[in-house]
Amino acid sequence: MEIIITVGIVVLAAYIFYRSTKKRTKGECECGSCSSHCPLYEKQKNSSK
Amino acid sequence: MLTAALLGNPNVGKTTLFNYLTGSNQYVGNWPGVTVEKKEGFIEDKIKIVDLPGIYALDTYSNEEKISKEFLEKGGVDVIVNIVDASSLNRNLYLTLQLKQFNKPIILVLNMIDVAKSKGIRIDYEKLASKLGVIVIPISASKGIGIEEVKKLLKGGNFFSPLNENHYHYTDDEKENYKFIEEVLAEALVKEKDEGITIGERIDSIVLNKFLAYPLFLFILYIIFKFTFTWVGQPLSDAMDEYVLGGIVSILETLLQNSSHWFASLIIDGIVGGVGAVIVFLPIVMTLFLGISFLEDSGYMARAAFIMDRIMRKIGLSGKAFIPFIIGFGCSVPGIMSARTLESEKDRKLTALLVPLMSCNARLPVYALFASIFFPGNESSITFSLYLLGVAIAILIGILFKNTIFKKDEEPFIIELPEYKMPEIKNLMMNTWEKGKGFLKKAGTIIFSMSVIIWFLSNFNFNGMTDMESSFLAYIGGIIAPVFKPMGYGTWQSSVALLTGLMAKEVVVSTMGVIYGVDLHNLLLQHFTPIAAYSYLVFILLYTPCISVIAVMRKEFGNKMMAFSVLYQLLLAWIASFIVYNVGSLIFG
Repeated sequence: MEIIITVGIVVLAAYIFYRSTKKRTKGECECGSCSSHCPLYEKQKNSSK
Repeated sequence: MLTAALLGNPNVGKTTLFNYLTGSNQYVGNWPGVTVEKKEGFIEDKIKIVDLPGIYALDTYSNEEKISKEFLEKGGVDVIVNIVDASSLNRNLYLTLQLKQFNKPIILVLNMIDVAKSKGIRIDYEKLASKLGVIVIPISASKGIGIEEVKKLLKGGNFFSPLNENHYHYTDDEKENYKFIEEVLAEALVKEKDEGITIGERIDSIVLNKFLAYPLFLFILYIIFKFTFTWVGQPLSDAMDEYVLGGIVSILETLLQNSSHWFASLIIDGIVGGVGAVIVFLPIVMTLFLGISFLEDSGYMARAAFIMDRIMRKIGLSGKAFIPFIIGFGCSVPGIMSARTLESEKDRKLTALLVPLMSCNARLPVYALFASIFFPGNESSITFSLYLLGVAIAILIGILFKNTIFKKDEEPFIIELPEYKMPEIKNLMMNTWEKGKGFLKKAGTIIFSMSVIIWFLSNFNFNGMTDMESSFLAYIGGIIAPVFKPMGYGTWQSSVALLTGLMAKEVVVSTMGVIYGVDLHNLLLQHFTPIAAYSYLVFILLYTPCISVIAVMRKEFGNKMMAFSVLYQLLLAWIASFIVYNVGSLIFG
């Protein structure tokens, strides 16, 4: 059971890390803290509509 | 679909009207320059509303003006919604005259009619409409008055009323245009009372006073830090640490008492230790930004940009560049991006190089952690001093760059000082929650994943599970640790935290949370002296903020500028941290 949970945690963390790093290295900021100020955030928001 | 362009001078309420019309929740600020790029929204999927950046005229060439002009020419605009400040028509109507050139129907929305009325200004709307050849609708966007009429008119699509003719009175002679505006207003506007000196002018005589402006600015900022670190934010953060995080840890310890040691360590030291070490600073982040939002909405922030103009000129920038700096206190990425609004390429580059020196809110948890451990009782002064140090170093570097790689002449700065107003609770709450939401999102994503990775790196090596001193993390930290030894913190733990901090600055705290576990406070006291701790914070303040900033520098200015910014920030951080530690050690022993 512990092994299964650990594998789940590792897969999730690796996926989030991959996605986040990919976004960040593209200059697609994922800082969250800028939110409504950020022109990038606006673009993402509009494109997701 | 019908396209309506929303246009007006800066800070006349465009974004507020846009939000009402489209049901959007874009950021609204009581200072110019909030709308950097055009934003789109819809009314019932029938009408597209495009919110364009605020501009005073279409005859100069800033990026905002270019964006607006290009959109009016090529964006397939059916109608222009020109929003103006009813209490300041003389200046606002200059843009209206220019807009007539585009041969589009214009709906002239007179915003802030309540303010105009309180100033004793009475407007004959019909006369104004007939004189200008536009449709006039009076509104008060902040109170939601008159918005329905604008919506109804847009939905009806009947803009070509007999009044709305295309004849325009704009000439290339500025004086002629203003003369025409005066003639129109002489017939359409009556000022019933002479206000004398207004309350706003009285406040300005103090906050913009030659001698009082700077001390007052510093005092106001200091109060915000007191509010954050002494009165509200820190106590809430301490309570969260003790009751919420402490409670979760004790519940998990009970639940996992029969589990394997490594599994309990992964959950408690790795995930809860890493994410929890950061998340307890949520109240501090939210409180600080509540204070900053209050300053923005009250109208003081525009004054701050105005009084900073003198200093900004010294570093070869105009006061306009102060706005990206203020945004940089939230996050360097939008700060660098908002440098796009500056006129010259040199201004944009210089601003982008200096914005990361403003302390972003991701660094706040690191300051709060170290200040509470090494400087108890003086948390607000220590954090305030770091923010000021960032600004002071930005000024020095600005002067250096101005006289070397970015030689340029000074440029004039025009900023409209908005009316003072009591910030709206809803707007304040929305902005503060945005910050809190972003912080929580970050804790649940990058900080969580980094905590798990750091836990594995700190508990494993090529031979499998091991003690921390023989782990991958200790090995990596050990390689770079000698670089930091002259600054008093040459341990592998503190060095590796600086490295992982390149993902996001909060990760410095989560890395330490994972490495030191629940005994974080006591172990940090063993590894740092107070001077070394402050020197470490100076390094955190000045070195490359995160990979997002590196990427956005590359995107905006190319590889060379990106490499230059990373190298200069690392070098600057090292030198400043070295000076602080060694001079500090000499003075304080």
